[in-house]
Amino acid sequence: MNADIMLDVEGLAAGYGRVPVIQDISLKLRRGEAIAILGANGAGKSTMLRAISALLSRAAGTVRLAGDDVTGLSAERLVAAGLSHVAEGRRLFRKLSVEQNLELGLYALNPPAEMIAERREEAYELFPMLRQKAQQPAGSLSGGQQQMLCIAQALTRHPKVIMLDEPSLGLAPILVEEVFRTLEKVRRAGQAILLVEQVVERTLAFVDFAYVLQNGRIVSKGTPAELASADVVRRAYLGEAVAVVDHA
Amino acid sequence: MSGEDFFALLVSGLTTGAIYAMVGVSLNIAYKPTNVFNMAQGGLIMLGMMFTWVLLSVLGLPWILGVPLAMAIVAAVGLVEERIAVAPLHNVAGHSHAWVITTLAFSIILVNAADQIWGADPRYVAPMPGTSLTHHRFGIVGFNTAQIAIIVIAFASIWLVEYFYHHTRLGRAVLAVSEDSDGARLCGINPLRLTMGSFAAGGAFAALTGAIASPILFASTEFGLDLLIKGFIALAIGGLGSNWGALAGAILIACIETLSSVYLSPGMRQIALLAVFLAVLLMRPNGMFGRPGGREV
Repeated sequence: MNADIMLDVEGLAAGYGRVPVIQDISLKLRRGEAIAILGANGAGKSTMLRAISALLSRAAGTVRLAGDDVTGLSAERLVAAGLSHVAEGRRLFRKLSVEQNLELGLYALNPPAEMIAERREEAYELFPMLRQKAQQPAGSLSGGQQQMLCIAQALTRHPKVIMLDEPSLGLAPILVEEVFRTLEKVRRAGQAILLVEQVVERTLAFVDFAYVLQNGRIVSKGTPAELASADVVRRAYLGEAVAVVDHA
Repeated sequence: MSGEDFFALLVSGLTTGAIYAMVGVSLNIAYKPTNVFNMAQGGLIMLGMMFTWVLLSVLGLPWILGVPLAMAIVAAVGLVEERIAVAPLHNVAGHSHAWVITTLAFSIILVNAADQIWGADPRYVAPMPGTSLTHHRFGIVGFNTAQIAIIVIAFASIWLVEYFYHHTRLGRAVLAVSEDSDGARLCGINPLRLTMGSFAAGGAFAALTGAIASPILFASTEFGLDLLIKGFIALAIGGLGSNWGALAGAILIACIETLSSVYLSPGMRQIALLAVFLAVLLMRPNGMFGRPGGREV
């Protein structure tokens, strides 16, 4: 049963300097499952992802990836171990070409040339427009195309867990749909998805389970149906004070 | 002043420019993954000169053995610098300003230690084998083969550095780190290891610069700071981080120096140089080849 838990975070705390931003975060993510982290701006969602992927050093807590304790691993090593983090703001290497960006995405795997070609082909099948833009600098792509490239970069690593920080931010509705269609394929392939999103309804329609973050703490969690009935989600987004919900 | 003299000066300017360009490129190498200047780069070039003198002139090693050995020694010094003056600051927020002080301190230690050991007297280093300081003339163009060797080595080594950045996996990883360090980490690239490697490579390149410059400048413990400043100006004119820009900027300032000291007066040299420097920066604040807004926040 435990072998099915791909990501297991317990008692995570982190912050900048001495100011704690997130505290006592615990969550579980199973194989082929998608979960969402919801919360208002400034609730600590991105900080939480940065702490899980070790970009930000943690003050407390443990992280297990597919059963292995990876608490002590650096961000670089976590990528190699199978945790991909698509950070907010389309972090691409803008001066380098699409093809070179895809190749750098595989850096952690130290891949031979055939494997690079094979994985690049996967990316092009997932997002055909990337093939036409292969030789162009990533900075010249449109916002939507850049987001596709970011996701492709992460997916071609075949991660056990992929964490995405607001992949739909700034995208046209039709592209938001394309992002979710792609994530659906990923989930069906058995990978686990942790999604931070602002488009709450679309996200709840996609995920299996969601956590609501407020002021750096998890104030509520449940299936989309459970959360939709409680107004805790709406209130969390409005930033109102909400009593911690007791989950049995 | 005859055309012959003009061309002789031009060749001399090109030669000096090639050396300044290599200084700029060696600064760029350490700058790439860190976005911080290594203030000790001038000291490392000076060490390269002195070790070249020790290995070639004192110990009598052949050039092909002595220069790579000097490069390896100075690469090791660069690595030591990274460990003691740079690495401890990685965990300090806003460390990039502290690096200016720590690398400058390292530079002062290097220069003073070298001065204690070797003194400030200029030392003669023979031109590389196959070249000489004998004057040749083709039509109105006069030069010596030592100058040609310096220009060729400078171009070839800069081309090699550019090739490394754009056509190798490791080189692209350095470019990735220089653009977005956290983004690179999320691809599995370890910026700290690349920083170490770049300080070592920057040291090796500095030593090569010192080695090829020493036959015409002489090896001296006093050269570091002057070369460092010329390298900085070349980069400011050519655009930070751009190696071909460094070459263009370096040739421009070296030709201004050489020509102005003859056509105006030696006293006017620095004034002419700084006037052009300011004019370029007024018109193109990011240098001739620099792009504005390298970083979005």
